[in-house]
Amino acid sequence: MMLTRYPFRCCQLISMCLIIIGNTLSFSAHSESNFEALFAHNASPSELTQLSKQLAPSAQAKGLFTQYRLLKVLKKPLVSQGSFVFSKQHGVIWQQLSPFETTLILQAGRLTQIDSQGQVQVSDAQQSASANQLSQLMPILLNALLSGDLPTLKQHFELSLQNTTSTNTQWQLGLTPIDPLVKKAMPRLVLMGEQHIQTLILFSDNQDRSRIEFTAINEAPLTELDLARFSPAIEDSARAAQ
Amino acid sequence: MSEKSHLAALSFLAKLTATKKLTIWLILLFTTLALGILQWQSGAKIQTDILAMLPKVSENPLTQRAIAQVEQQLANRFYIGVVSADQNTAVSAATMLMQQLKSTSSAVFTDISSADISQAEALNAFYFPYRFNLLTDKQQQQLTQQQWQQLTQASLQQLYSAFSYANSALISHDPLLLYPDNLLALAPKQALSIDNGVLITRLPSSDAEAAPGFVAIVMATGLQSAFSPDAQQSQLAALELAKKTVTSNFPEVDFLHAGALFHAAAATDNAKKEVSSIGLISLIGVIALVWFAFRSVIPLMIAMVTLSCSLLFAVVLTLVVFGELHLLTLVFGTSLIGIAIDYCFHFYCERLNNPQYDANHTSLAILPAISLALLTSIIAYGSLGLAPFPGMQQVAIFCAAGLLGAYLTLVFAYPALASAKLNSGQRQLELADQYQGFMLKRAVPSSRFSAGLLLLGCMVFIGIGLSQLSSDDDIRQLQHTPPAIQQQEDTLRTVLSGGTDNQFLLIKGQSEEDVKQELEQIEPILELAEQQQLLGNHFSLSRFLPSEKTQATNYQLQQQIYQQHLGEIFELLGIEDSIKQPLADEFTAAKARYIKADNFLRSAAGQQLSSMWLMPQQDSDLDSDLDSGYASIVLLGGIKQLDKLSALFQDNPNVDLVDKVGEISKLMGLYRQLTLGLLVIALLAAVCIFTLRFGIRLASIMVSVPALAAILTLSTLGIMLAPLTLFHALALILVFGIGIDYCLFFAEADQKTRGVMMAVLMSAISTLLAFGLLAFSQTPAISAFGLTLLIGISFTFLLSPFIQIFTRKTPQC
Repeated sequence: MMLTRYPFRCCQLISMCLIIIGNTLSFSAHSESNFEALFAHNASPSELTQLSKQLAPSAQAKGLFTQYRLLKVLKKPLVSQGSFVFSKQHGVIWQQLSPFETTLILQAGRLTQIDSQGQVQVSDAQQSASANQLSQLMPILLNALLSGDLPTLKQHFELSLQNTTSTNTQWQLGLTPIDPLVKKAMPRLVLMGEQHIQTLILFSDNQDRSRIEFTAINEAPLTELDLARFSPAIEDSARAAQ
Repeated sequence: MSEKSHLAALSFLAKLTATKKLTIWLILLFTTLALGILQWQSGAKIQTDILAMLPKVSENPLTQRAIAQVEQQLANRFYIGVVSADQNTAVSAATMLMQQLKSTSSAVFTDISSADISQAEALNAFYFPYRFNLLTDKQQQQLTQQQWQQLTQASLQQLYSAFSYANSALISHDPLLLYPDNLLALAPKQALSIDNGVLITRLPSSDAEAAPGFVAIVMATGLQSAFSPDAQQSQLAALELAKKTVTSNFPEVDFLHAGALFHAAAATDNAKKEVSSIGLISLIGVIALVWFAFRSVIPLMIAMVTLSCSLLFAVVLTLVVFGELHLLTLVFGTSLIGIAIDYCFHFYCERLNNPQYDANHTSLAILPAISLALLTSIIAYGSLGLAPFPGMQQVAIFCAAGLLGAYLTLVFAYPALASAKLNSGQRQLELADQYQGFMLKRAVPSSRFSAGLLLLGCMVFIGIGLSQLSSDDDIRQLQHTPPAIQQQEDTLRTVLSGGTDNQFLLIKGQSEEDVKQELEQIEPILELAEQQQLLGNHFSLSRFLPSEKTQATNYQLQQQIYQQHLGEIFELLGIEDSIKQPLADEFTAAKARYIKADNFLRSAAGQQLSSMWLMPQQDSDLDSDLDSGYASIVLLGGIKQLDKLSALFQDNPNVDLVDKVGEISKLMGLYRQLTLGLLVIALLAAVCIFTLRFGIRLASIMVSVPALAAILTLSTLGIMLAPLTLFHALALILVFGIGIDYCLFFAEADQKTRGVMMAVLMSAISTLLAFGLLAFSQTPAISAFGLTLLIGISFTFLLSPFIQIFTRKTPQC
């Protein structure tokens, strides 16, 4: 024992990650085989350069989405529709409009959720390690995914690529997370598109899968109105600061 | 010692020839040497743990076990921060550091980790089967209000989100998604994120000098105590090697360190440096002094023999008694050189003064003075040893044994070894005589008026000094930590949101359930204390081990979900019906299957926390009523107001605030007072012993010299605004011991004081050399000790020649 204080509490660092929870009880091994060929083909630097030329990432975008959640234990797919806004500067707004209204605002270090009753819930990165983990990474990843920001994606994923020939502008990008924790939450992602990204598919280990289709993408600078939609979170952060 | 037995001893010694005496001395010497070698081989060691020197606080056995468990858990753990401007570099470097530590030094470290994902998985694996017994406060409230529909709605919203953790596996076992929040509640709040299995965060921005950067955290535990010098060396070496490999790959990374290992290493380093530097300078000074005084190699050799023999006796006897030698004892012990050499000086000055006698005769001539000096010194040291304070007992035994060694050398070895003729030392003797003459003629006030003035000045000085005197018994002053190490630790502490203090709460109960319920009851009190800034953080097993009462309540509340409304919930969420019955069965089967401390703490998830729980001991036939119950430790961190915090639990007999540092500090205060009391007793004892030989009048005058020196020293310390500690008090005992010696030599020498004056002069210079240097020690306790001796010996030296004024007028007995 030292006479000064001990450095830290002994089990300070039991890091808890929500994303591991489901996976410890997965039913069966990953069986999605549609994209095996895609993931078998690692993207070469030249292919990526070509793709990035085609994509021309924008600093912001907004549009509509339709999402199909296929969960193995549910009788039917959960289909939802809504709009999204993303901005490199401000983060991501993911607003579901049907079958009920919910909003998710992802900003660096903060995750704001507004449920169907309009209740706002803010989880701060300082408050819990797990929320922190997701909410810090998700805005970056979504931003990069939505804008096709390949250098950022390359930092977090191993990339594989298919179908980028000069005649066919349709491409498929396979993403395997590098960070083991993120990999547990989302073992594989597939991004598809032409000029813009069109479809994002998220696979999980237990045969669940989410397919998101993007439409009406507009890369024009965000309007005042769009920016104002980030404000529930901003109000909350002001409140937290007080 | 009575006159008669004294004379008998003298005549016995006088009959022995120098050679016979030498034989006796050699036998003694070799016996001691053999004993020392035997001790060393049977595992005697140098102790560096500062706490080993401190008194044992008399706690009840349960509290002692709790303290031991907390110490064992925390003392050997250390933390390395890998700092880099770039997050990826920090993460890669930290990963490499962990690999290096694991591969190169599996025998040195254990539990090398950063973000412990496996621990999180283990917790999940343990708690998932018990999920029907778990609810967060909010969930409990919602279910109490029958709000299962709202919970279902919330779950549905989660299901729709592609970015949520809801998936098939979880829904089929926990359709309302209640479990994740419960698992989350087990995680302490922290501002760290995880990147590729490494804990990482930004460096606090308050660090103005450092460039903004990232710090990745690596933790490890030493397999052996950080206080064992060997383990310390091998751990540091392994760590250095690993860091070297990392820096060769990532030249730009920097490291921060925190943990007892680095404190202990710094302390060892410091003590070693001081033993060698202070010891060496003191030795050189003494050699120079001897050379100056006697201009001959022989006295120098004799002085060395005396010191070696003295040290040998000191080390061996300390090892025999304690089985180990504390490094601080060695530091204090280097000052032994200053006292042991006194005997040698006294002998040679006497020879110089009376060159007509041979060595045997001289040793017999000074025997009474030396014997009395040894007796009083041993009494003084003995009183140090009376305090139940292992460190001081060691110092006492060490010094007493050392003096005995020097004494035996003088009595038995000098007649044969030191018989060579000396160069004439008239000039040096003249010098000493002149000094004493000057002191007696000029420094003694010549008129009543100036005497009064001197007295008044002294009174004012003492009055002001003593009124300024304060005390400080905090044991942290025993430890000196270099600022660089402290700063690194503070930075890491900030990064990891606070730390754990030495104080902790011990929650006791007759049964496991009692303790669990008590833990739940104090939780809101502690949370409130955190809000009120009395406390920075706390860590309790309460969340990990909910009471059976709470678990039963939670199970009952979840009957709403699994027994009353499961069909409706499945309908609303659209879950396959085939899953319904197995889930309902699972719920029924989980009834009254509770989370037990025993199971949890033995599981992979709970092992880390097992030191926070105390079971009744199996062999509790001793102290059975004190050590029979269950208990749990609640760690506290960032305590701001300890008294207010302890007041919160004052009326609760089941909760103890254990504050070992505080207890020991209190004890230090007690011993400080006790030591000063012992000093008074030692003074009185000296008066009694001296009265037998010199009569009451001279005896009281002789004792008044060290007494006055002690009072003046205390006053000087007061005026210097140095708060009084136990170490000042202990030093005063030594001042007394040395002061008494001076007075004895003067009183014994009667009027022929030239030799004595020279011996005292040399002794004072050598003592000041040794102790004066201690005042410059980095360790506050040693410095206090040295400073007190520096001042005390100076006063004693100034005052002692005046004894002669009184011996002149006193008829010899």
